[in-house]
Amino acid sequence: MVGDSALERGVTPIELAAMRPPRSEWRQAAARFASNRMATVGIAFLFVVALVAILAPLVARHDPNEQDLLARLKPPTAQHWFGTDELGRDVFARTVYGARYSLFIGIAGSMGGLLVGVSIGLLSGFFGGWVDQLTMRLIDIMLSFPGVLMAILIVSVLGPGLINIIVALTIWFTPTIARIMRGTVLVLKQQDFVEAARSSGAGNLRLMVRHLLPNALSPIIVYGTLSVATAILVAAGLSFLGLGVQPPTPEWGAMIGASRQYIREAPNATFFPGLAIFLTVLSLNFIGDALRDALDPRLNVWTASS
Amino acid sequence: MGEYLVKRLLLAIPTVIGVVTLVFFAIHLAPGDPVALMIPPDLPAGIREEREAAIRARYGFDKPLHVQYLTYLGNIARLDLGRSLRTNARIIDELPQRFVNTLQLGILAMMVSTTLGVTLGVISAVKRGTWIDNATMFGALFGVSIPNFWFGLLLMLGVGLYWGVLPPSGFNGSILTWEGFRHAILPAITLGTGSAAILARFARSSVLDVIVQDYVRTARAKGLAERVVVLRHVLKNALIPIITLLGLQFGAVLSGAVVTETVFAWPGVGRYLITGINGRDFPVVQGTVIFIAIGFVLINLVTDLLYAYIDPRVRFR
Repeated sequence: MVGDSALERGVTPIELAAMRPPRSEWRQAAARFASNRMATVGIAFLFVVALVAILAPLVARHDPNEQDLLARLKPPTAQHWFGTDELGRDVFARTVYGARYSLFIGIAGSMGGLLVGVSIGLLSGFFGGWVDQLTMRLIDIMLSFPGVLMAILIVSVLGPGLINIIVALTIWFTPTIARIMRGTVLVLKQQDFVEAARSSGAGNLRLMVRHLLPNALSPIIVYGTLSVATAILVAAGLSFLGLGVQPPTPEWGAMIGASRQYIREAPNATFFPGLAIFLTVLSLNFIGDALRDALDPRLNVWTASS
Repeated sequence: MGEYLVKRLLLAIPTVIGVVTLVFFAIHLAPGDPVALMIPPDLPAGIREEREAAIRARYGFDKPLHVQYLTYLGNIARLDLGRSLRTNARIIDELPQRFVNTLQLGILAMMVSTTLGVTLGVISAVKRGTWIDNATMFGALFGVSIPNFWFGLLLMLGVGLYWGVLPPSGFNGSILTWEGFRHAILPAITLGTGSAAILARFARSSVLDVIVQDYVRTARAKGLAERVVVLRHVLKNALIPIITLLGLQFGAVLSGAVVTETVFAWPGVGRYLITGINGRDFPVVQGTVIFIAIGFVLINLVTDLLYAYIDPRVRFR
């Protein structure tokens, strides 16, 4: 390894300085990210959604669960901006409160998957051996369940509910993230800086946390952002099917699932929560794409998730 | 090729066993008594205990877990997935017709997504940097961001109910009949959209990888028409990685069918699964999940074989 260093191959220090990556790649990436207009729009919209979720009681003039059976299935009016649903509840208030559930589930589910997946991938890739082999076989098997089938299986076993859906998303994301992380670690492990750190006395834990993890962050950040988008979509889909968050909780997917039989009479009760999901997920995808372009344009994280 | 086929088939067996094992233990080791899950919640108390004991004996839950597991594996090897708790029908008899329905929808959806996705992706790459490219990639982002159940409901409402040119839901069992085909159009578009978007992005980057190769420059240099260069030299090579993704997407489409089938009342495996979950019909859930997963393993196997057929280098790895 030492014989391979640039200096011994007859490179002058000036050339070496030119070869070295410019200072603070993160700052450069941040500049690239900031110049992306789509990302700016995405962040602005998400900021509004988050604000609305936090300030829901101030934004909505009605209680999300207050029924008015005399005003069922009404189109949008000045009183009810998004109209009312099949129980006469204010769709605007429910959509506003729904932001809390969807954002929380999306973030918690994908962060859970990131935490578990990154840990498994890091350990597995670093130590190798039979533990690695076993883990990878298990991951292969988990990934042989197409698409969301694994998540459906888990919620059907655990039963519906907010926490269970987060658990299901965590388990569902873990294999993909573990595999990405392991692949990155396997490449990094071969590089000189790891060898250098080891020979200067760094232990396994220090190597993993201080040297490998920071260098493997780019794909994880990008995939993490996109997985929040996926998590929101999947969670809404499961709730729509009646397997996730249960009515009368104003979760967007559950709202659509409950109001869809009345779609002819009151399309507004289905339309607005769906639009909220769509725009939130679109914003996250704008941001994820911009992050990918900024951090590593060669990454193709989209196909990794399918 | 024959040797490769045998090797791949043998490699699929441990995966199938793994899938069965995972589903079995997911259901049996999960918190909560599986027998309690199997009892319809609307039964009166006296009948409840009686039914519980009967189920324990019938499914062998009084036996140790490893005995149960081996019995279950043996049953699967004989294509026996057990019986529905609700209807007492043999699950393996219920699945094929439903699977054919799902497959018809899936194939049509894949035709939508492949035609749309690959065509737009290739055009986008060839015209990279132009407004066509930008518009396509923007559209692709929309396609992956839209919740497909909501998109399906909007199509159903707009095209099926208000406009009334296509039937809003249901299916008669064959897309080869005119009525059946008309019923399949909206579900196929709903199911194919997300996949089309992913394929468009992938096809674009795949073509961009090839278009800078030396042999493409050579083809241009010897004076071939741009159309010939793109079709013969670029596309042929760019298609190879796309085929792998097509196999994966087909699996995603099959599982996405769970949602689409629910929206459009399509009598497929997805709806069977959801009916099983809602009815706490746990043998149906277990059987259907295993059935779909094994189907996906087989699709991947076919994709790999196709891949090896097109690109002989793969066989020698």
